[in-house]
Formats: sequence, structure tokens, C-alpha cells
Amino acid sequence: MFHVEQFGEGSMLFFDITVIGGGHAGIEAAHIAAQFGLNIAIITIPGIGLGSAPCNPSVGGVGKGQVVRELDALGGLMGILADKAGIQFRTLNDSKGFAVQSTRVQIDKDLYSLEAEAYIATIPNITVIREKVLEIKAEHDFEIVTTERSYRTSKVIMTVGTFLNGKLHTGSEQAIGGRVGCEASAGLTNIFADIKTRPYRFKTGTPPRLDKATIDYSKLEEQPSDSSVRNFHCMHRPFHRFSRQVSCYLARTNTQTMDIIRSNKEKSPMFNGQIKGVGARYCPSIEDKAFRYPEKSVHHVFVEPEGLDLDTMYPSGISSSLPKEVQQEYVNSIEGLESAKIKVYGYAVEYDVIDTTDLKLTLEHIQIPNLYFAGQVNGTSGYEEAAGQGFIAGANAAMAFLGMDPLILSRHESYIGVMIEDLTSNTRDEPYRLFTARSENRLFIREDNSILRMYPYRATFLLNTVLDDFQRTFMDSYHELIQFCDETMIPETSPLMEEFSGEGELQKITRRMSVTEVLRQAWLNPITTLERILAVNGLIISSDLVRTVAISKKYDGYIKRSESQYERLKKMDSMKISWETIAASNNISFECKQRITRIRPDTFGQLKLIEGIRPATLAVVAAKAL
Amino acid sequence: MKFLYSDEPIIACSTCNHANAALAVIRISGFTSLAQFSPYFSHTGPIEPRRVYYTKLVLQGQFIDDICITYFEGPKSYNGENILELTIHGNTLNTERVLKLFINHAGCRLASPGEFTYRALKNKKLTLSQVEGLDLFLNANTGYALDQGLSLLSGNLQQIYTDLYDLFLKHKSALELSIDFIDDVGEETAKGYFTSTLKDFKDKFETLERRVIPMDHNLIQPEIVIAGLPNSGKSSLFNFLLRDERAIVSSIAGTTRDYLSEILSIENVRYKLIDTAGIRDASDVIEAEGIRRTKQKMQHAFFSVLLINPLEMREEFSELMQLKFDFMIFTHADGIGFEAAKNQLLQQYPQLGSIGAVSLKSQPEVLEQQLVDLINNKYLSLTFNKPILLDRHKLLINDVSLALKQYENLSSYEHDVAILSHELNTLATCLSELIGIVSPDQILNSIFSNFCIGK
Repeated sequence: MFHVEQFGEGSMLFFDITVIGGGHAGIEAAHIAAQFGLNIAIITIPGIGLGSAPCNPSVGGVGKGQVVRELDALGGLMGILADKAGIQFRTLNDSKGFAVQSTRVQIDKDLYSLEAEAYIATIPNITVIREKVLEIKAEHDFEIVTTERSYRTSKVIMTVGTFLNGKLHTGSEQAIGGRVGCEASAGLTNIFADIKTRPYRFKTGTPPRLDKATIDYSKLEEQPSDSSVRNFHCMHRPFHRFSRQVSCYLARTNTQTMDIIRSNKEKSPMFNGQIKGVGARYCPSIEDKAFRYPEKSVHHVFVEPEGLDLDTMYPSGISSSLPKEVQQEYVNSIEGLESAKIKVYGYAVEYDVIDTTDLKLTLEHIQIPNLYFAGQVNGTSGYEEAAGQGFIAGANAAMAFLGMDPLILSRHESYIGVMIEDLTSNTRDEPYRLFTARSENRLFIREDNSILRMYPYRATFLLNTVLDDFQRTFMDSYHELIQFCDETMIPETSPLMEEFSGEGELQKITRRMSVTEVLRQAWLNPITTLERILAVNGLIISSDLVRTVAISKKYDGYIKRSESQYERLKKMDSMKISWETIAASNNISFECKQRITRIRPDTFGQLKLIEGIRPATLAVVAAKAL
Repeated sequence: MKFLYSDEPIIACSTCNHANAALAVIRISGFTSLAQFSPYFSHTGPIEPRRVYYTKLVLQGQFIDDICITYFEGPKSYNGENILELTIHGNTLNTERVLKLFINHAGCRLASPGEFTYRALKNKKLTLSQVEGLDLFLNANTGYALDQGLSLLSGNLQQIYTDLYDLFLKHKSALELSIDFIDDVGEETAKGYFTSTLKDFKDKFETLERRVIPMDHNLIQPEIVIAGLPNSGKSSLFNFLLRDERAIVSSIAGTTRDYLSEILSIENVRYKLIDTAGIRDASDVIEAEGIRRTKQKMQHAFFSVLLINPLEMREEFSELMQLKFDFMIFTHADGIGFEAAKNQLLQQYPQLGSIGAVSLKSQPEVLEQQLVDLINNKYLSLTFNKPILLDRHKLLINDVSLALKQYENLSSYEHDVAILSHELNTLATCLSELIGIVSPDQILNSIFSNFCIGK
């Protein structure tokens, strides 16, 4: 890593690609672009470490765990950092089937940022510049003007998070900035005259941070770290832990908590009109919960450590922009938090987002070539979503620079692909977060087969690193093991088969079967079953590979069926429609018309994707659109 | 469908039933300008939309007919196209001559069945279920079918389907909630939500499912079948029941005359009254074949009457007794030994007594009233639950029923929620077809094959 001071005053520095912002999107973008040997800069606001976690101290989660593993298989950074900074590991949806199982890791946020700094520092062709950007001029290439000097660059990746015209709210107190203690960046209008932001702003919030020592943990439900959860990075030993493991705790709100919030409605910036930005329905503040669900007063509050040495806990589920004294009061109404002290008060932040339908699938801006956008500025929420986009923007900027084909992940094969297509094909009216429900191919897009899914894409980078060697070996062994399963027949009379039969309550194995068939028997756990078959055959194979093969075999039939459904859907979805006619029709509700007019769908598929479109509307359109 | 992509002007007689009448209405649809027809009208001034003009129809100076014409300008017309309606004299020869004039000289093509309505669908003037409703409305023989057709046309039944679909979506969301938001809601709440939404959906669906009854096929064209051995008095009953109708009804055209049938109206319902005597008389086949056909007719009948002459018992009688019938009449009550023979028969077949057997000759009016009441009561009881009449809908509702049962079975032991959700898609497909979210090609084919020409 170079330091800017090494260069003399007056000379204008040139970078192949410049990333504005050093958050989760920024470091992924810079990291992958640097692997192509280009000269990369990260310009980030002074005072914030790279890869910092201003909100929840965790990485992964339902759908998001899959994204982290996809990134990892593509050669991303997030999985490595999360493993190193991980202080509590958990598998969500553990009992609900392999397809929806997701890893979530609580991170020590200081450690995470330190690891990110250290990792980036080892990459010689990345320069980290800690200055505030004032202006970016797009001419032949770009000129970036900061508070200190100017830089020239061929390509710019904007990963500016919530800092565009950011405004913080805590009760009636307001401050300008992208997060607490930091200044805001200039608005996009100052930086790029040509780029429109969305006409309305987005809003997100964060809960108050509690003093670790003031919580009565004996009254909370403890959730220890699960040692059977596998690390994110495919080349880390699966169960190795880099840091000391700690617990999370579950608390619950009660009637008193909700009454305190309800009686302070006029003091809430979100409900008294002070905040006009749109928040996400799926990530409601405690005020949202209080007013939207008046009949419910018990809500989960996960009390999560922010770090091993940090003295704060993050109470997930009670984000708020209420005045400080109200925050203190409702926190203390929760069992176990009676004497909890707030170290940092919760706040809401409003910020500008761009219209992502102006972006290509590479995340390059359609009107301004060589300019890319990734992360929260695109209206998404979550570190993982940001990192996923950062990777796509970074890889594509680098590959475009080198004249290579673009990297476009299919939505049928990855959650990142789902996200990018959703973002670029549709204007959202609330922050976008990944859910497994957004995928049409959930049985295939799993954590256990991320290498399988991403390897063909990684191969197009034409890189030759240890990761590529690792994946090549993995794929070779995968195919061998698949072949073993398909070709090895086991007679029903073998002791192992009799054991398997004995484990089924009603079902039995009554004939000779291939290993593949055995793995599909509903009552057998495919992983342990394959392990036992391999053991009997004297084969020793890595547990990661066994897992991938066993689960793949289990779901094979379903996946094939869903593929044919998908084909049929795709045909229907590609049907052209006229949004003008639909909007003019008498048979459609006013609300639907508004959404249709705003989004202007061209095909039935796009119409279906619009949130809040009623089935009745779809029926009317489907029946008419011939 | 051969007319899918052809948009040339089409013509058909909209009122034709192959009988001479005072008037007939001919419709032409899909022309670009009225000018192409002006050589055939004596009227020379402008023709404004939605006004009736009296004119002479002429071909090469030769007078054809005195007619009235009305122009409906697209897109504000029934099917969105320019439509010209000609009211002509309704002699069938005249109708044919007028059709030929426009086909041979004015660039029109004879419409395929349902083509006018197909264009209405294409031009977004009607929805799929409205078209189905229209079909039912136009072909209804019962007040109930007429009502259901209208209900479809106005979208009432559609509303029930979409309500059902909304409940399905709630359940689907509950399932997704238990995957994506399990941390927020907790396992217990998610499970409760899953169970309650499934129940809501099931309850609503079962109400709809009750409306699918196997009999209702006959509610679109209900048949009353008179069966019995030869010389049991079938034709007498047939003629007696029709004595007031004969003058005003005519034989149903177009059907193969292997049995006698006439229309009998009872309380606004037009029944097809069938005398199975025709089956045997017309085909001159052995008795066994006659009985086989009688059986077949009775199976599909809305209402069946069995006639028995106790004085003339034959071997085939025992076979007739196996048939299911709604009403039985003992005939030849004035014959010598009738009572004894009847009582013997009732002893031999105790089930006959419960039907309410009566004799035809003693008091025919009483008998008729009894018969009419029974028929009417059956009609009322069958339509009481508002049965779904359209086969496509019935089949889909049965599909939903099957998919729902499978899903319920699966959800009782399968804990892999992704697989559950995957199976739920089967249900989603049936439901979306029911509300019309499907590629419409296959449905169109089946719908338009029912349409008569000119509709």
C-alpha cells in the first residue's frame, strides 16, 4: 500500500480504478479489481476504518449467509474477514432443511475493521486515500477533487453508503452526516450534475448501544456459539475459530415497553413528520412495531456483543429515533435491562439513493460510462448485499478495463444474481434486502454448493491463485464422488441397507439401489448416510465435499422439476404488455395503477415483480395480454 | 386456432337458427372504412356511429332487401373493432344471399365460431372469465345457468377466486415468514401463523368445493328421460306432458334423431324431454342394445322416469330395475288383474314402494302435478348450493383439491420448508389458472370451440 504523502505536491495522480468509499462494498470492489493487476485507489472519509460495521455487529443470516459464501467462492473478502473476527457462530433455520439453512456470525466490529485494514494493506496495488471528495468531473476520464488535491482515473466505483446528503435524527435533534460522529458527503447533485437521485429519500435506523456491564444476563436466554457451524471461507478449516467465542442473549419487550413508545408518538421523528424518508417494512423500528401492530407487545430483542474488548452490546430489534430520555425509559422496561445504561443513543438516518434502473447488470451507469454504483447508495440494506454489489462492480470495472467479457451472475444460480437483476430491472420504493423468497430456485442456491455454483464464473477471471487451485481440485473430486454415487449399487441384503431400512418407520428398502437412490430416501439424512456408505467402502473424503454431494443428490429431483416450472414461468413472464393500457383500464385499483405508472413494466414478468400488485390485477392483465 | 393471426373483416348472422323469421341480424366486424360497403347501400349521406339508417341493399343495380344499418365505431364497440350491424328480413334464403353478397363482393370472410368474441378478448374488451361467462349466458337453458353466466360476466365469481388466491398468498407468506424472518417472529408464532392461514384457506376453499357437484353437467342442458319396456306407455306420457307445448316448440335441430326429444318448460327452465322409445324404434336393433342406450341416457339424465306395466312383465325387467330413477309410474291401471300384479311386483321389489309409484290413467293431472313438483324440487335443491357449471373451473377446483390434500399430507411429516414451499407451487399453479393468470392459448381453444358462429 502506498501512502499519498509519498507523492509530491502538484503532480496529479492517476489510477485505473478509483473506489469512493471504504465500506463493505468498497473494499470488495477494490480487492477483486486489484487481483487483475490494476492500479486501484480507495478514497474514504478520514476517521472511519475500512469495512466498519456501523449497525448490527453480524455477518450472514438467512439468504445473506449464501451471499457471503458465493462471494467467498468468487474470491471475495467478506468470508475471510468474518471468520477472523467471528465471536459467535450460529446456523439459522437449522431444523428446516438444507436449502434454507444459513450461517450467521457475530463479529467483533473493531477486529473486523482492523482485519480489513491489515488485509488491504498487504495488497501492493491498492492505495487508500483518506480524504473527503468534493467533486467528480466526467470528461474523457474522471477528475476527482478532494479537500486536499485532485486525482485522475479511468473508472469510478461509487460505494458511498448513507453519506449522500445524510441527515441524522434522534428525537428533535438533527445533525448532518452519514452516521453518528461523521460528516455527510456532498450530495450527488454536487458531485455529478447529470445523475438523478430518487425523488424521495430512504431511511434506516439503528438501536441504542447498551453498557455491557449494566445488563442482568441471568434474566435473558443465552445463545452460545455453535461449534458445529462451518467457517465461511472455503480454505479455512471448517470448525477452526480465530477468536474467543462469546454468547448472545434473547430478551423480550412487554406491554410496558410498548406503552412507553405509544405514549410518545408525537416525539417520534418518524411519526410526527420530521422524517420523510421511506424505511423498510422488513426492518421496522420499535416505533413501527408499536404503531403498526397495536395488538402485539412481545417482540424479540437479541442482545449481541459488539466486540470482545468493546464495552457495548447491540440490542437488535429496537432501533429507534425517539428522544434520548424515551429510549432510556423503554430500554429499562425490558426484563434484564432494568438498569442498563445507554452508551450511544439510537438514531435514524435519511439519505439519497440513486435510481438503479439506470444501471446495467454490471452496475455501470447507462448514461455515464465507466461510472459504477454499489451498496447502500443503490437503495439496499445490509453489509452482505453491499459486498455482493461491490464485488460485481469491482470485477466488471476491472474486466472492462482489460477488455474482457462482463461478469453477470444468473439469478437462477446465485442470490447475488437475484439481487442485481432485481435492482436493475425495477425501481424500489423501500430499501432492498435479500430474502430466500426472492429466488425462484431456492432449492439449488444453497450454502453447501456455493463453489459448485460459482466456480464457472470464477474461471472466467483467468486468475491462477491458490483459491483457483483449491476449487479445481474440489470440482474434480466432486465429479468423482457424483460418479461413485450414480454407479455404485448396493444390494438390499447388505448389512448397511438393512440398517437403513430399520431406521424408516414405515418405509423399507426392498431392492438393489444406487447410492444416489439411497440418498433420496425421505427418512434418511443424506449427509450421514453418505458418510456411512463411504466408511463401509473405506473411502475418506473431506466433509465439505460429502456435504455438497449428499445434499445435491437429495434435492436433484425437486430441482429438475422446478427448472421446468421456471421455464414455463419464463415464457409467461416474457410476454409483452402495455403499461399505458393497463394504467388506463377501469378494472384495476388506483394503488396498482400508481405503481404501474411509476415503474412502467414492459413484460408480464416485470409487472409481477412490482411489490404490492394484486392478484386481481395480474389476472386481468394475463387474460387480456395476448 | 386458425384465426389467431388473421384480422380481415368477418361476417356472420348473429340471430340465425336455421328457421325463417321476421328479422335477422348480420354483423360485420374488423373493416377499416365504411366506404368499402357504400356501393351496396342506396343511402348516400354520412353514416354516424350508433344511429340507425334505413337503406336498400343493392348488388350491381339489383335490389336485394330493405334493411336497417347501425355503425359501431371502434374502439367503442363490443369487440373494439369497427362493427356494422345489418337488420334484414329473416328468411333463411335471404340471409344466405346477403352473406354471400358481402363475402363474394365486399371482401368479407365468414367468421369462425367465437371469432367476434375472440377479437373482443384480443382487444381487451372482455377478460377470459367474462368470455366464459358470456358463453354460458348465451347458451343457458336454465335460469341458474343464466345467472351464473351473468355472474361471470360481471366478475362476481372471479371475486371469489381472487379472495381465495389472497388467502393462499397469506399462507404462502406464512411459510416464507418462517424461513426469512424466523428470528423476528420466533418459532412458535411462525407455526401458529402457518396453521391458521392454512385453515383459513381450507375453509374458504371447502365452501367453493361444495359448489362442485358431479350432477351439474346437466344443469346447463337438463334432460328428463322417460324409460320403460315397450308398450309401458312411454309415448303416451311424452305426448301428455307436451300437450300444451307442441304448438310452440320444435324439434331440436342438428341432433341425430335416434330418440325423440322435445323442449318442456317448467318454471323458467327449459328441459329436454326424451322418450327412449325412439331409441329402439329408430334403430331396429335387438332389445339388449335398446336397453344399453336407455341406461346410458338415464345415467346422464337430470331426472328420469320409469314406466312399468305390471301386466306385461318381461325378462329385461330385472335389468331395468337396476337403473337409478327418480320417479316410477305404474301404467295400465284399468287392465284386468292390475292391482294383484302390482302388489306382487312391489313385494318382489320392495324398493319400488319408496319411490311413490302412481298410476297414469286414473288422474293424469294429479300425476302431472306430482311429476312437475318433483322435477322442480330437484332443480331447486341442486341449484341451492350454487354449483359451478363450467367444466374448466370444475376440473381446476378438483386439481386444487388434490394438490391441497397432497400438501397437507406432506406438511404433516416433512420438515424441509424449502420442499414444502416447492410443493406449494403446484397449488399456486392451479389457483392462478383458476383466476386466469396463465398463458391463455390452451384455455382459448377450449372456450372458443363452444361458441356458435356469430357470437
